[in-house]
Amino acid sequence: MSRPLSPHLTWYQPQITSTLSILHRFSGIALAVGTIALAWWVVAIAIGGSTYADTAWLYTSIGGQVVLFCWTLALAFHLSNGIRHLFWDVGTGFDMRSVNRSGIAVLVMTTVFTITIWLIVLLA
Amino acid sequence: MSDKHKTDDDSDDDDDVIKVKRTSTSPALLSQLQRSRQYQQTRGLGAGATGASTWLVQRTTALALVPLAIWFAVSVVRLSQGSQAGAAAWLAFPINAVLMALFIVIALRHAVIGLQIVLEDYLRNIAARTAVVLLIKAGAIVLGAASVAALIRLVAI
Repeated sequence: MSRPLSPHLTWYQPQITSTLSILHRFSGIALAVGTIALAWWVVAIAIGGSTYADTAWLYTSIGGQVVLFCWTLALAFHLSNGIRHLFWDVGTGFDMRSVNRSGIAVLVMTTVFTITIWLIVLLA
Repeated sequence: MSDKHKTDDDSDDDDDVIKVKRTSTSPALLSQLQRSRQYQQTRGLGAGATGASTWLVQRTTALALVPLAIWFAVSVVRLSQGSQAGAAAWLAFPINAVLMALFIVIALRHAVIGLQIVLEDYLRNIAARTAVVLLIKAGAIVLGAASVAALIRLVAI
């Protein structure tokens, strides 16, 4: 069967609505992949010894910290935009004005959340 | 008549609605449809049999993940800077271990649904899609089981 699939990304002129929708998927996929690193981290703590030492070396290396920063950014965005989706699910904020405004709110919340996490980490 | 080929530029959003005159289905056509094999096979199955429950699980897991993710993000980034002993002691505390187990298991459940939906949208080959979805589900179960086993070990020590 060759039923039509969802429209592909290149079909749309970039707008805040479509861009955030695409980013929601990309950040979701990134977080799913990141869960492998998270699960390994928990397992490595339980194993301890050189296994944890190697994992900690990798995770605290510059590359590891950059990935961790991108991961918190993806989490902050997916969380913020996810809350926006939950509001849509109960049926509010569907008009274009609200959709555009909540889109900007998501970007602000993502920035604030990411900065807050890293401030807590770096100041502690 | 001038409205017939109206362009998008000068029309409001409401003008996009196509108005169709309501017509009654011919009884002969209706009875032919109801006797068809396709109708008999799909009758009572709903849109996709389990579509609504998957949708609901995706939303309820999302709701649970809102507080869990905030707690988790702050904790993990902080712990990743410290020692193994510090992280092990922190995870050995039962409340932290339970919240961590909940976060990982619920996040995996949420991730599996999300990834499956992306694949359903963009991967046309049903055999390949089914295989990839099964692999993702198997991977999620392994990750979840390994994490929970590790957490039980850390609490028990």
